[in-house]
Amino acid sequence: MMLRVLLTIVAMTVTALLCGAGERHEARVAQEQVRFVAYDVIVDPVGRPLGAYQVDFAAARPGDITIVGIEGGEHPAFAQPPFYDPKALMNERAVLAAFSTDAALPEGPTLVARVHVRITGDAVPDLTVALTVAAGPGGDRFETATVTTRLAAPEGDDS
Amino acid sequence: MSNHWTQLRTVAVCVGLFVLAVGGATLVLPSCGTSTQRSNQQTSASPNEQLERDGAESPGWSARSGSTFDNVISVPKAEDSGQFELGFQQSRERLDFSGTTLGDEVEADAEPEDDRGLPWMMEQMELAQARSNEAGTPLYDDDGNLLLRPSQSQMNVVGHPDAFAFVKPSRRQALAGAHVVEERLARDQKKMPPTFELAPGEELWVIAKAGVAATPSNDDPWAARCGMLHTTLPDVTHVVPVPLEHTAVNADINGYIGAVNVKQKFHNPYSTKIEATYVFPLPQNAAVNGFVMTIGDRTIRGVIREREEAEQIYAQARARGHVASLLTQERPNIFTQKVANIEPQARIDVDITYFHTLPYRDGAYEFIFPMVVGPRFNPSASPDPIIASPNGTPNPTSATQVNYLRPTERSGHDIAITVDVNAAMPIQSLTSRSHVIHLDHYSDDQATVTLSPNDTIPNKDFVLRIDVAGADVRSGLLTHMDESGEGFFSLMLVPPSHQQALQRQPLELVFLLDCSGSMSGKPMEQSKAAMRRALRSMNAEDTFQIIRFSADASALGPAPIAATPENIAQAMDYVDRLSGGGGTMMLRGIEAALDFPHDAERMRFVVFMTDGFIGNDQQILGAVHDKLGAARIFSFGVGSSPNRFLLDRLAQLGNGAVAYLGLQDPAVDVMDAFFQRVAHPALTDIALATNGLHEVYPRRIPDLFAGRPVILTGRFQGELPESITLSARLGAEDVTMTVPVEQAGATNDALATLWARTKIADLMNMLAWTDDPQLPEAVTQLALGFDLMSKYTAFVAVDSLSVTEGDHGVSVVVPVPVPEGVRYETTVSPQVSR
Repeated sequence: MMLRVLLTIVAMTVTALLCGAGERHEARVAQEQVRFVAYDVIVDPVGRPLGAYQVDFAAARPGDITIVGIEGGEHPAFAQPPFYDPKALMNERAVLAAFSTDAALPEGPTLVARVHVRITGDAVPDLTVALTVAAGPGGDRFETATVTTRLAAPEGDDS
Repeated sequence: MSNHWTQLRTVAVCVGLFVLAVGGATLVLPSCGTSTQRSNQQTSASPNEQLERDGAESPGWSARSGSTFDNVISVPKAEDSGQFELGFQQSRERLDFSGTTLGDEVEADAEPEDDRGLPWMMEQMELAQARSNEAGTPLYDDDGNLLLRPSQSQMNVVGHPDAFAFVKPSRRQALAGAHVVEERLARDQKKMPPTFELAPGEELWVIAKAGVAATPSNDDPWAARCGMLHTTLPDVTHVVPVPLEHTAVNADINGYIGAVNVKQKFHNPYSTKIEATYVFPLPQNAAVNGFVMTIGDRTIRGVIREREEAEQIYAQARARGHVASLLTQERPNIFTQKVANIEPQARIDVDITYFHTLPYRDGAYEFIFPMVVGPRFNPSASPDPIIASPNGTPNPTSATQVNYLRPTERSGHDIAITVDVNAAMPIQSLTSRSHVIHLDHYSDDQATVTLSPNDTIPNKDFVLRIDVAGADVRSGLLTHMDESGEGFFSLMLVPPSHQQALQRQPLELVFLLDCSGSMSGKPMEQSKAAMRRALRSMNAEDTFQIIRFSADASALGPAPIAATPENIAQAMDYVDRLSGGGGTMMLRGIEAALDFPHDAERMRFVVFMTDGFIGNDQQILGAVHDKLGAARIFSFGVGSSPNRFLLDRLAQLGNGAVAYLGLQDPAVDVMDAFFQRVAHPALTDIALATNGLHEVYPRRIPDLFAGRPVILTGRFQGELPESITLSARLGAEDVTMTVPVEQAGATNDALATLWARTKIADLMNMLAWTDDPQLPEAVTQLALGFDLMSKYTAFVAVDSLSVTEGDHGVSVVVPVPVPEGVRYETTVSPQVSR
């Protein structure tokens, strides 16, 4: 009788430990499966002053990323975070647009925005970025302007 | 109200005034007791009661010709104490004033014995107004005289809610350069307790409103010492450090559309990392569509997400040490802001932007910015409560919890407000009864209004009245066409002028009074003053009933009562005996009012007076929808921070109109405006008769009452005609109205957002009485598509580049003061059952 009680207690303890371990494991996995990074969006107006732009930023595979914030750029003319199209955001696309009336406008490759994202899983997301339009302060469109994106360096990382 | 420096936010509207003599002071206040004994005899009277005894018809700013201001308060200067003790003495002066606000038209008939007295003062007031229109104007003139501005160095006079005091600097100070006194007072105000004393050569000036008796109230222990000027905080024993340092509100008003930016400045005053949680109000019709987090010189725009997803993102970012913020909506007018991983001494700003339409009531547009959520009562089994807890109470649940500062506590959180007004029509006046304001710039139709720096404690709604009563306010339709060719419009529908030619039929008035604990004190006194006025205003052929509710509900009688003099006298006695206390079982009150036997000969109007401090809003609205029948509900929001969402929605569902009775508002005027509204039949069965307009909200066009326009919003495609037509009924008559169409312009791009917000409100309304599972999904998709906050969507922002060290830290709830006039002990304290 005593043995049966003892075995029952041991079995319950092992079960509880396994369950607890399972929950902790799940929690750890949930933590590990998610990370937050940012991507720089760089527009190059190729030597002409950049007054306005619209960029389409998206993941090639839906579900890879979730956009969690949109930051302004480094140049003072585009320091304020750009506006986004909420309808595009529903499909995890960031259609970003901004204009500047500053006198001093960038003419070379310029970090105009930074997109903060949550990545689920270990895979490196396959991102696409397209320049819908880039224009000068008078609204003249640039045919040769380009846009690129790169993983932003974490704060304090000068490499 | 424990904090008398918080009372520095006085109504600041003046009519009477006086000058202090050197070495002592003289304060003129109307009808105040001439001695402490006389003062004590009046302790049971409220200002409005006193007015009624005096036979005054209105406690507003109208002239009371022949009034004698024969009470003068002497203010001996205490040498070392830093306090003033006031006594009373008879004056030889006879003063009689009328006017509106400082700087507006002021008339004076005075014979002060000092030839530098009243006429000089009036001259200075006009001079101040003239100069305040100019940027960079010095505060003082060449002779060292203070140019009067309503809030410079201002103090409240305890027991005199309609008076304020300020310090006139010495000549030496004035010549030394303006802001000496203000800076000293601002500095002293931060001391605990603050102290104040006159410097050599300074003078204390007090301005009082005519027509309001300086009668102490039972509710304010200080007020029993009629005429005292207090500059200390006897109750406050310590300052509570809070992570929310400052709120800055910047509003742009164009016509009846307001665009508002609210900047919340968070700061971690502790030595460990924290998460800050702040529950705060916004206008109930705010279309919140912008959210930006600033960390140092980096600015991150938040994105709209389904609420559950946003909460998950925030929790994950918080757990991983990222600075993140989350904005959720608990009610249409209650929001929660969370900011995670604020490191010690770090500063993080959050900017929230919204659009809204301004209500037009009785000749004025109103810009309202609520500052604090009032403590809510939650009947048992409320599905989604708003819990009122003492400061420091942890919140182990997922329910929304507001922590309130105790009467002995204050926090350093303050608020600044700037409102740029472009009324697009001549402004007759800009006034605020709730706060002291500056007019920094003023032209015929434009002005900039700022909140006084001495009136910055966020414990009551900021209400700015933009009076355009002299202007010809007409119906009009604004349009906007977006890039895809989809059109949006906003229609302001003004009642036709001939509506006022028709007289009303006999009424059945059912007065429903909230007598719960949150109403005790000043709100209850205001409610009773309004009731007394209403009882006196009924016609002989009207009938009435009075129903009170708190933890239960009871009525004056079992059936409609004829409005005979005897019955009204009996009702007056009944009202006099009412007091506030206990819970807020509003549902019982609503049921009692709507289930009450109907007087078939008359139209039933339910006059509902409440602060709306309940957590089961949806349950109440559902009951109104189910039980309304042929009745109309006219809701009156009483107090300094009423639940405007509930009150507006009650009136909307009840086919009536809403009005607000602040603590400084004349109850007589508010009730007179109600009787003016119901004195003429409403315009009913309103319908758009022009083709091409669709998805118009509110879905049921409200009835139109005299002096109360309504705003509709909708969509259209293609070209609109030059005008649109509406049909309606006025009494037994069919009428049509024609409204001109303003051409679509780029400036109206807020209309799409306002349309979506109004549609969301309409859908959410339906959830009060249906459980259609498609409604939440419809709201969600609409809110996501238009970048809007809703119950089912939230803004989240994550800084993924920086990772703070260690655990996510302690969660700190930002405690807030109870609204002005609300008693902490009857609303928050856990041992009190509400």
